[in-house]
Amino acid sequence: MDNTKNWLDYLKLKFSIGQQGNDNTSNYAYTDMYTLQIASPTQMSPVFNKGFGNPDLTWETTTNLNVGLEFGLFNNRLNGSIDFYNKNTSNLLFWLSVPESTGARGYYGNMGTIRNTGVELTLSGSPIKTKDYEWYLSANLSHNKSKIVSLPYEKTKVNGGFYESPYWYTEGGDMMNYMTLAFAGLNDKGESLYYYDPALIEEGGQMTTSRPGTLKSKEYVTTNAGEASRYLAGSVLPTVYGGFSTTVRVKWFDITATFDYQIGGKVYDSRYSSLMGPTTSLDGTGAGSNFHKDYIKSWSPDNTSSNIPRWQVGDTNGNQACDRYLTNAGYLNFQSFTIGFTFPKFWKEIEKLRIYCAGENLCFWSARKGLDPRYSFSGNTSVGTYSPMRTVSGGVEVTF
Amino acid sequence: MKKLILYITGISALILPTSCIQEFEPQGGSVSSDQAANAPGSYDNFVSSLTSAISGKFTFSGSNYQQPNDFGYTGFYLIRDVMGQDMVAVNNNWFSTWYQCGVGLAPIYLNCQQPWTYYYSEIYACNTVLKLAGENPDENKITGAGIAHCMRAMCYLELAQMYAPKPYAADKSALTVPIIPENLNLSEATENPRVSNEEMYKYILDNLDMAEEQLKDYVRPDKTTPDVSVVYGYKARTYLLMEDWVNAEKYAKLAQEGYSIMTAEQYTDRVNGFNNANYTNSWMLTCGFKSDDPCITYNDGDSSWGTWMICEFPSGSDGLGYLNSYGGANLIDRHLYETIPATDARKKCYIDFALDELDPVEDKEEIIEALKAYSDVPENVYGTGLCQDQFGGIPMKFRSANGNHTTNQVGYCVDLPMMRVEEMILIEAEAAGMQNESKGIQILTDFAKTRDPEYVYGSHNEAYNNFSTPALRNEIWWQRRVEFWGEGLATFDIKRLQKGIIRSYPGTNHVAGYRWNTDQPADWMTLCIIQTESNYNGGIINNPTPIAPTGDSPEHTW
Repeated sequence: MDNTKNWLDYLKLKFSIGQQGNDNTSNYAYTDMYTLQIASPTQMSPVFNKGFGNPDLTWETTTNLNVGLEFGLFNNRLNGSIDFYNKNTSNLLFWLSVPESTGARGYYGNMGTIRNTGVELTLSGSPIKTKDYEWYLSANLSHNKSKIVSLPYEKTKVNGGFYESPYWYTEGGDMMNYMTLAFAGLNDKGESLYYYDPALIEEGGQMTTSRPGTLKSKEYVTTNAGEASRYLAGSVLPTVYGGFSTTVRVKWFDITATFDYQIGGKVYDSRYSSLMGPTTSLDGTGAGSNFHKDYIKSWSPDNTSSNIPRWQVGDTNGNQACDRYLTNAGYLNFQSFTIGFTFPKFWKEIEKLRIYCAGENLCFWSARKGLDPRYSFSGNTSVGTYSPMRTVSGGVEVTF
Repeated sequence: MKKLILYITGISALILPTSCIQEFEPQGGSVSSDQAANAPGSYDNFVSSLTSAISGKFTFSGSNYQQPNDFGYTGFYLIRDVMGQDMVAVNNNWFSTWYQCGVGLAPIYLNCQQPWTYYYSEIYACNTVLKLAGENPDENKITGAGIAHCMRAMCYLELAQMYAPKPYAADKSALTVPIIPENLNLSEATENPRVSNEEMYKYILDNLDMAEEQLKDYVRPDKTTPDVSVVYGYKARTYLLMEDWVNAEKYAKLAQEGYSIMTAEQYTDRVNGFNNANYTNSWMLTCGFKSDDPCITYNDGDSSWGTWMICEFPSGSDGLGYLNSYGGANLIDRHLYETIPATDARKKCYIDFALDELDPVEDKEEIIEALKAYSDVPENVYGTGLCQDQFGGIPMKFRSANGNHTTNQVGYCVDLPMMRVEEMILIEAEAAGMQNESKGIQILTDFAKTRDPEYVYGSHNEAYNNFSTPALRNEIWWQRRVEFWGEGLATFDIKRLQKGIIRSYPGTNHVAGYRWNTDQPADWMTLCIIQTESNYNGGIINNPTPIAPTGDSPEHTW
């Protein structure tokens, strides 16, 4: 290792393997449950609680494999680590659906196997480091890919996979593969068009939406959302996410800023979609709710190039849930900053005097103003949660 | 060596005495199936849940959501009756999806799921009882098995009528719903196709035959559980749908034994009218609401029959009730009202449309004076009418319990009929009449004269766009529409007789935009099967999603 002494300060190779279990479902999922209701002053009757008990229910097990490398280079001017992980979860606890005619909609079972693999990279270093000037940079990045390795046969035998709103699960596919109607633009009357796949029309003429369509062609479009097929829109998980920060110190000033970001990923913008549709009932009930100002850009005979369907009261098909509202969930968040000034030492008793100004949650950029994809793991965003408040504070720090 | 023994002892001490799994039983309001099965009188408890849980409980949405149209069996009366023309759902109330052929009828929506969840939950409960009773139930289990067979047949009969595109008499091969036998295992359920009308009705009659046998010695404590007369009643309904006139007449006659019809005074009684199972001896099977039911105690009682059908309470800013105070009424169709002669006592069950000609504010005194003909508290009814912006058509048929006009939640604790002897008389009239017309006319006239002393046969022969129906059936159909208004039979009759609907006519009180006329039963009268079934049951071929007509139909002239 001698020949590396001048540039390699520190190198560590890590490896770990472990198993964890998870049994976090509702209680008593192994047995049928009944609620008690009063039948008469002297009798309680048991009413089935609409979830079958599964006596074979067991833990889900995650086997975790981690390989990592930590290093320090160039006299610790550049440090970093890189980790690969592979998590194999088997006997996944999942709500398995059954036909509702059996008396319940499903039960908890152990579904199959999924695998999550990913990489996490952290780098930090100071390109400039002198007594008076320093510039320190740090960045981290994570990437995760999930895959469904196996599923129970009963779940997939009818459709080759299964749809639990809003995702499609099939062997070899992603864990969060969004499946919804596909918007096909507007027709010459400004009505919304949706694609449908003629291969999915069953005996009896009804379109099945329990598996995704494969053909998207302008020949097969409909204005009636009930006749449209659902299509796969791809995984909603982000490509990469992470953060970066920087500190600059110039003589007595120091400035620090941190950011976090996400690139890729999708989120269903349900709040925007609810503000972008007219009242669907003809007698005016439900009128009086708010619209988004983008409604002005909707289709009209003077504005035929718009992608927003015509604003027609009572139109129940124009604003159906579809991939039009599946928005890029990338964002950049200016998380915090600090600016400080450290007074040069002028008074013997005071070791250090510094004044500073700091702030948090300063600025947020996302695909659409008002969309904050950070607060829902499942990807549907509503405005029920407030984004964090911007705060700016200042202070004086005295060290004796 | 010592150290080795110590190590071995230590390690085995860790491994050997492992988990004796201690089972904890639920201690809250829910019980596991073992607890339920081991409780004293457990079989009877399960049997009682078939009838006591049929009404008054949130069977679809649960008490944490409290949907106002989810209050059990009687909720489906309104869900079905607004589909045709006899009941008008105003102001976009909670039944408007079914009135307006709304988007919610498509297989991906909650409203589509409601009937499926409700009826199959009841079927599951019946199957649980039948599993506990076994193939050949012994004498203390036999009446429970009979009740379960009867209720199960009832559920399938109603499901078949709601989901089959054509009734039995029109098309025996039309598909109904999947049958779930009591010993079905889950893997079979995933490939369980819908059965044809023919197969379904045979299954229903098999169940009723078993119920008839098992209930033959049963003396019931009250009218909430079926006895053998109720089984005869369901057989009469089934044979009527199959147009098997001989059997329909036979069972309709058997079902009537021991009952007597309501008189006109009892029908229109202001205290006990249509809210008391024991007031008359005409109700055969009943359900109801009790003061401790979740539908009464939660949500101000606004998820119950009473909120939609009972008024006469104070309205205004503190008032409660969708009919009484929130303006969400279900009114009678104006044309049907106008065809009821003034001499017919049942006309007094609906407020006259003439009151809409008066100004609600300026003519207030006059309106209240006129409302005295309908109610002992005309000021309260006046308040109700103000909330709707109309007085005409407000139903007064269903009265508040015990004449209570102050507290909604007390007044909503009513009994409601699931089957009454008047229906059996009219089934007899129709079945006998299709074999021998004059006999049918005689039975019909005798019945009609109890409501309208000046009844003359022949004045209610409206075709509703199906001109092949014989006059006698049209006349009986009119009687059924008036007699059983709000009791859940309207859409079943429209489908059975293959009638169209007529909502658009001069002077109609139907909501603008939804005034549709059809030549045959409307598309939305055939429900779609919810995707929580079709996604997991490969054998299901779904019904087409109904599409609402785009504009009002041209007015029909009578």
